[in-house]
Amino acid sequence: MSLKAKNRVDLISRFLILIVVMAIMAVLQPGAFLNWNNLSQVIFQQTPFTLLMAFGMSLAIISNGIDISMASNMVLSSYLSGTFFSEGNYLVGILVAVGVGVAFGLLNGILIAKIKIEPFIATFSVDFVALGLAYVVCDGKYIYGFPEGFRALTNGALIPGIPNIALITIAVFALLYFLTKHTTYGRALYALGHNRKAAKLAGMRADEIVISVYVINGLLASLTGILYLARLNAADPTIKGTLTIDSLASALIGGIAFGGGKGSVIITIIGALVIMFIRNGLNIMGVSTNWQQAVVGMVILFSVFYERGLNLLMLYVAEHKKKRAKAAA
Amino acid sequence: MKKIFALILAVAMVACMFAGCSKDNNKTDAKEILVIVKNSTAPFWISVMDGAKAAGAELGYTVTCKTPVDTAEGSGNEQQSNLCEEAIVSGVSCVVLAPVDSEAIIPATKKINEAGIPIVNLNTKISDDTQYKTFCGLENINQGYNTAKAMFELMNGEGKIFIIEGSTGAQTSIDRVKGFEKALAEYPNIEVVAQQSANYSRADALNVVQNLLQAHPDVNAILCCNDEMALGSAEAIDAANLTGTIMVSGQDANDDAVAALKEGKITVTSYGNPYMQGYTAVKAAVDVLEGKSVESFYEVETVVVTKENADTFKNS
Repeated sequence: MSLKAKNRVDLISRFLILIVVMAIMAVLQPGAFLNWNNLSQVIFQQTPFTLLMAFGMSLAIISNGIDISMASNMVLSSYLSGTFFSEGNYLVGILVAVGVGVAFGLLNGILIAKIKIEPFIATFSVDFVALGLAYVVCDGKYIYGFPEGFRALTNGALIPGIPNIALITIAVFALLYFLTKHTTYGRALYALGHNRKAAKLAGMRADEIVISVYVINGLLASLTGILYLARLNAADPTIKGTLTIDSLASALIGGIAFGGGKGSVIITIIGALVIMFIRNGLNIMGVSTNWQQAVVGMVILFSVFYERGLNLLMLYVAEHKKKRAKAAA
Repeated sequence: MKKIFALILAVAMVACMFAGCSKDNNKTDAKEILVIVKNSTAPFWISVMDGAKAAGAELGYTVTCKTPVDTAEGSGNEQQSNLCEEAIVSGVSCVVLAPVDSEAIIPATKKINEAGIPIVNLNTKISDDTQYKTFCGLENINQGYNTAKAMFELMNGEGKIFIIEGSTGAQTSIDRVKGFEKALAEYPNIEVVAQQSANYSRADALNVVQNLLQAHPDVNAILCCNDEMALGSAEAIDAANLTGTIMVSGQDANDDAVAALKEGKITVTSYGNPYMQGYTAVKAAVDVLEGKSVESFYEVETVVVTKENADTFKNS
């Protein structure tokens, strides 16, 4: 089976999981779940945060790494830039947010690509540093009250019906999709994720590309931080919440396998939607929040089994075809 | 080059270790009171620590404050237990403790008692009352009850409500919900249509309430176990263009919430007087150390805060 066909099967099969989750919710709660208001709220207002993080996580996993530090990086950059945004000093705010995000991304990248620390350990440590610094900076003082104009970043809608935050997320997606699928940079990213040594021998600037992945993640973290400020109307150290786990889960449910060189940012979207719809549906049904954790965990496990089963099935089909071809000859 | 870099790093790390040690060695005398609270980031706990330090300075005792690093209340117990064990090793004279989890902290408090160090319980009761000399704080059940009652009066005794709980397992949340339920028993025409946890977090509350509003758009009021979640709820209501039609209550009366109260985004909150809690606890600890008789409970009064007393409640 060709690689393209395999990718298509992956995409369709993941989409199937989403449909099944939505169908279950729709049957259990027909009125409240399956209406445009609820669906658009989950897709356009709640998912973008997890999704922007999950894009970063996917890029890291495709490069055969992982990025645990994004959520803390986001907390720190939103804290340091929050004061400027609340005073209407947008340009300085953006510079500070992006500066912090990129600095920590660069740190991750250098630790991983140049000093050769395992990505998990490097980003795990940086996660502690960033969150710790955020607590120091925060010191119990929450920043709140942002100008209406700034809050329009998430609440406003340039195109009626689609909040700006969704437009931003779509733009980021388009950019990342183009970057990973239609540029030499993207091809190199997949190649080095598959086999770093071979990619280097083939003359790709593997180290620089790995560093750039983590810098992109830093940028995504600072962007998400700014959007969070606008949505919550406050800089709040608890926003880290379950974002790291959720973004990792999105990538896993999306079928982006550890080991690198595989996956795509499209299926990450499906993974993120699955998680957010589970949380939304369980809320609506009045199921205790504690169950959400367990259910998301089960869906991840199921999804990993599903991936295995799918691979076995495809192998079987391929072999069967070969046999038939042999028999015919 | 790499070796030099590694050498510098190693030296820096060792230097940090010594810097950390020297603090512990500076202990002047045996009159040290250790205050263990729940976290060092929430405005509430910072006020508690300020009050504790002020009492210490006034009475001539060294007050050290320690907190779990992890701010999620559910996971703080482990770290608080470790802090308790460290307290025994470093030999403090008294421990003032605000447990994250009333039940799970008991093995650690037993060890402190066995070491002969008295415990003053602050803010959240330890389930076993033989573990501490005295309790200082507000009665979370009463606080929940008073806030809920004020809210139900504003609803004229009828309507539908959501209850938004704090982190699962957090005693303050359990007690405040108990208080809500006590008030509910007196108002039979108030119906709880949904009850969910939002982990004491604004971001979580925003999503949870947004989702709940889909199923119950006709809700009249939302009772939250702290202000952060009340503010998250207010944003959710705002996003659904329902501002003014749904009332929201919080707890703690932090600055952000009081500002929202004045804008009409939040209807009721309750001031727990954290500064006085910390102050009273250290004062009681000093009494214990000096062998004076202590009462079993020093209650710090809470004040229900609405738009009317938003500017004056701290003076009452």
